[in-house]
This record gives sequence, C-alpha cells and structure tokens, in this order.
Amino acid sequence: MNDPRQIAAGIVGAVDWQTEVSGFCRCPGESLHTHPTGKKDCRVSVDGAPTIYCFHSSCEAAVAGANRALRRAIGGSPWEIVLPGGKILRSGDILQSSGVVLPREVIRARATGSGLNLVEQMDLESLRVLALRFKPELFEKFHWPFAQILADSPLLVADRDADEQFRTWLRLWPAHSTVWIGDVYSSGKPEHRTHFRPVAEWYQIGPVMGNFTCGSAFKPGSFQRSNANCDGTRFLVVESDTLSKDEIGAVFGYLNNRLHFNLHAIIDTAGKSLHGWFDAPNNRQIETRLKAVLHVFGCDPKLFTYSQPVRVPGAYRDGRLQRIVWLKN
Amino acid sequence: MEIKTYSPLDQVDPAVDLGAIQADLADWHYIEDIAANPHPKPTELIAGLLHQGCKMILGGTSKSNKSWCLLDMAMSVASGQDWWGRRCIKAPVIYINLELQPWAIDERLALLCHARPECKFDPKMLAIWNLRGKSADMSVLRPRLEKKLAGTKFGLIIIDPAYKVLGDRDENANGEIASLMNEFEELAQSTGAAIVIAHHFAKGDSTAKSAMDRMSGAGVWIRDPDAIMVLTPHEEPDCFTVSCILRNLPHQPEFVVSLDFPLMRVASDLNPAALRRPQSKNKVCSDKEFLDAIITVEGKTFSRIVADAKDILNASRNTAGRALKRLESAGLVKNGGGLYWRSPTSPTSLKE
Repeated sequence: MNDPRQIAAGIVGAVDWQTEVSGFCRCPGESLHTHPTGKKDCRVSVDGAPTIYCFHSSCEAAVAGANRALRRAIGGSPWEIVLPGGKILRSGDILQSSGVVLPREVIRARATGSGLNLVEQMDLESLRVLALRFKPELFEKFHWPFAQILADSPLLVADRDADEQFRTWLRLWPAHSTVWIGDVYSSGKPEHRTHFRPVAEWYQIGPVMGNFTCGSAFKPGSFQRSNANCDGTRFLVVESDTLSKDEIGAVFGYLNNRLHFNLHAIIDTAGKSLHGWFDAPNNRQIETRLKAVLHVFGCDPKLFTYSQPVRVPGAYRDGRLQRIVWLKN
Repeated sequence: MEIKTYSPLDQVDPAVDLGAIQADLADWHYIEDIAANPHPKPTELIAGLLHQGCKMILGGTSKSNKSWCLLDMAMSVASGQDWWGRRCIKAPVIYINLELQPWAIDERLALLCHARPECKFDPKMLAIWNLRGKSADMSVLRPRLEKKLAGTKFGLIIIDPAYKVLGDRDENANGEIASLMNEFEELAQSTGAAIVIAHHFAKGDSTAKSAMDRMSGAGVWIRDPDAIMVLTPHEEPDCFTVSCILRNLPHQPEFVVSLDFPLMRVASDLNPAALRRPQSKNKVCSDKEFLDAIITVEGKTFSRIVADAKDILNASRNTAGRALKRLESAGLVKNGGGLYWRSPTSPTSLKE
C-alpha cells in the first residue's frame, strides 16, 4: 500500500514532518516569493484533502499546480498509516490536533446531518484542521499588537470624547439605516421600538440609550433584535473572548491582507478585547467557511449571528470609555 | 500592518486561501451577456497607440534617444499635448528613472521644457522618481513601488530601462521574462496606469530582422506587450524609423523621427523604409540626397532622371531606378503621364 508521505516528498522534496501527516516543506513556487522565505512558510498535509499551503501569495499558481499533482497522486489509490499507539489512519480520514482520528464515515454522517454534500463536509473538516495547523504562524506572521494598531490608525480617533466617538462610528452606516442601540434586553417588546432609530436620529440623541449595538441594521419599525428583522445591511464584527488585545490584531490583519475583507474600524470594548468591524461575507459559502476558520483561531462563533449585540463606541463600561482605536480614512 | 481597501467582491474564500480547495475559475459569459454588458473600453492615453491600463515597450539601439523620447512622452501626457503628432489625454505621469544620474535628468527636463513651451502642466502632474543605484528585481521592487504609489493616481508609469529590473532573470529565457512581464502587468492592474518600458536592441545589424524581432532577448518581450514601438536607425544621421506593433488598435504606418535637439520630431519627408544597413555606407547617395538633388516639383521623365543622377551623383541607371521605386512606394515621389515629380506633401526645402 502507498505511503502518502513518500508521495508528498516526491512532489515537494524533503518534508520536516511535525505530525504523522503534516510538516514543513520547500514551497514549489519559492522562486516567485517577493518577500523573504521563512522555514515555516510552506506546509504540506496528506490527510483529509491533501494540501500544500504557502504563506506567500506570489507563488499561488505554482502551489495550486503542486496541489493538483499531490491530490492526483495521493487520491489515486487507498492508503493506510499506522499511528503511534496502533491507530490506523486511512485515506479520507483526518488526523485532528488532539491526536484523534476523524474517520471518513463520521465526515459522511456529519455531511448528512448538516445538509452539505460529502465533498463540502470533507472540505470543511479539512479546513478546520488546516486552520489549526496554520494558527501558530497566523499569530507570528500577522502580529499586530494593540499599541501598533493605535499607531497605525489612518485617523487619530482614540482620544476623541464620548460624543465624537459615537458620531464617528455612526458615519460607518449608510444614512438611511435603522440601527439598534440599547442594553442586551432592550429588545422584544413594543416599548423597545425607541431603541431602533435611523442614524440621523441617533446623531442627535448621542450615546445615551445603552452600551450595545449590533452589526446589522434593522427594518424600520422593528422592536425586536432578531435575524428576521435585519434589513440586509450588515458588518461582520470579529471578536474573541479568549484572544487578548495584542493577539486579535493578527486575525484582523489576516482577514484583510489574505482574505481581502475590508476593515472599517477597530473598537476597544473597555474590557479585555477588541472588535474588528469588517464588510460582511459576500456569500453563504464564504460565511460558513469563515465561521469554521475564525472559530479555530479563537474568535467567538456568535459573531455570525446577525443580531448579536456588540459594544458601541461612546458609551462607558464601568467608568471606561468604549472607543474606536483604528478607523479607516 | 498595512490595511488595504477592498470591494466585497474581492473577498477570498478561506478554504481557497488555506489550500483546502482550488480557486474557482471566473464564470464565462454568453454572447447575449456580452452584447448587453460590454466591457468598458479604456481611454486611449495616446491616440492610436496606447490604452490606459496597457503595457507598451519602446525598443531601440543603445543611445537611440529612447530616454529623450520617453521624457517627451511623459511631458506630452502630463500636459495633454500631442506626442509625435498623436493626441494625448492629460493624465498624471511618473517617470521611474533607473539609469540616468539625477542631475542629468533634471537637465534633460529643463531642455525639453524649453523646447516645448506649449507643454504647460500643473507641477503635480509629472513626477520623476530617481532610483538609479536602487535597481532591483522587479518582483522585489513592485510591492515597494505599489506601496509608494498607493494613494496617488497616476495614468502613466514609465520605467526606464527594463534591464535594470531584470534581477537574476536571463533576458533570453522566455519563462523568466514572462514572470517579469507578469510583474509589469500586476503593476498596471494594481495602479490602473498604462506602463511604458524602455528596452534595447540586440547587438549587430537589426535591419536584417523584422521590426518585432529587433529587440534583444526572449520572444516574450514581443508577445506580451499590448503596444511595441521600435526605433530603428535610419540611413539619415540622427533619424530613426518608428514601427508600431499594436494588439488592440489598428495598424499604424511606419514613420521617421529626426533629432532636432533635444526633441525627436516626426520627419514626414524621409522614407521609413530607408534603414541604415551595414552595406549602406557603400551607397552612392541616400534617398534624401537623391530626392533633393534629382527630383523636382515640376517633374522629369525617367531618362532625364537617369541622366541627372549620372551627372550629379555619379549613380548608375539601376541605382537611380531603385531609389525612385523606394521613394515612390514611400509616397514621396509621384508618377504619371511618363513623369516623376515630388509629392506635394513632401517639403521642398529639406532639412539636413
């Protein structure tokens, strides 16, 4: 039976295996790199959907070609690897970072459960594993600490007062949008209609109706912060309960630099985290995959709930101002 | 961290980025969609020659005044004045100078400004970026150029010369030059500007080759650009035949430019086919000398021309016949009713 690692080594050259199925290798398009190449810039994985991933983008075409060759070669015949401890990993299975083997039958069952086809489910499972393997490099390559975020802001906004913070944030919205501002429970009853107002009204009122808002705009006349009442205007607000202010900047940088998500603002919640306000995903498939990846990176999966409350700039939390610390010019 | 602005349509699928799946190819379009939504045609930055967002190569022998021509082009576009008789759309221009010393380019610009007083432009319309001594592989240079150019909307980027940004590439290797051309293409895409690059001829007699084969190196130099202008030495001193090879625009006839220091001006009285060849130093006379000395506005018979050519230029009947044929095909001499006369479009007082 074939050994997929030997097949991979035949395509990418020597591999510095970090696990039984994944390791660092020389990028097939290294000569095309426009920035210095690091030892950990290119990784090859042979489980799930066999993949070569390189951190650089200039080598994209060469890597895509090598990926095709790798999948054709490994997918051509079934294989098995005996893992330490005697567990067997077969072609189509995925070795998770915990060491647990996710059998292809489970992937098939999950696909049935989630309404995805087997290929889509396999892609999603592979994506989770690839994201996890990439995670250490993410925080290394896209390191963007809080102090640097403040320094890099095209507009100096962090020192503005509460009213100005709030009004600056309001300008992110289209003028006609109906925006919710309140506290978490200011929703669900007709008397909560006062928390759903057009941007122009909020501009006059100021940040006095609560500490929270939402990344989505609502239909005029709404009084309930539900997904059904969202009007389609939406930001993706990236947040994390586990990543520090010095760590989450890497996720923001990755989203912009690699995935080309437009970053509008970064908000300091006056707690331990930062919120990045991005354009929402432009289609459902990207959204599903992004959700899987960001969850692996340590972000809050609730961010994909359209009506999820998030901190509004200009309000105070325990005496500290929730403020914009980075704003696009 | 550099944060860039993107359209939501630019978003990249994380599964593609992390390599879990292959990127989808763009959708194809049916003819009815194309008819209903044709792609907008870019502006012709230089009429008949160069579209916005396209790439042009200006090729010529060493010391064929390519830099002078390109500086003149830069001034013409920056001021919206004609360049070699072709209308230019006014647009901001940056001239990336990798070859000349800064003082030399300053001096050339001053001379050109003096010679072309009609070129009046806002000082911000023309930028000179002196990078002599900073030459690097274009793959390394491009991200840095893009970073510096970000936020400034140039319509035309001139890179002079190409060999300074080759890096380790072999100019004779198609694969390596294709990657260089891809870098220029990326620069055009990311900036939206037209890119003009100066390139040199191979050594030796270039006239033995067709215009598009005169440039040095791999075939990609010719295949990739959308427009190619080739300056080939003319038999008249300080004159060059300009051949245009265009992908998206109609064919342009060859013409001659002549040095009227510091400018290269179109010389419509010269035959573009009369290239300087190694054997041409043995010629009895140049076509221009023949035209000036023998052909009149009133007209002469063929036998009269042969006799005058013998007397004045000591040229044989065959030499006179060939010169006459060349000048006729160039439109500088007309023939009818047994007479040959100077074309009315051909100036009577010829410049030397």
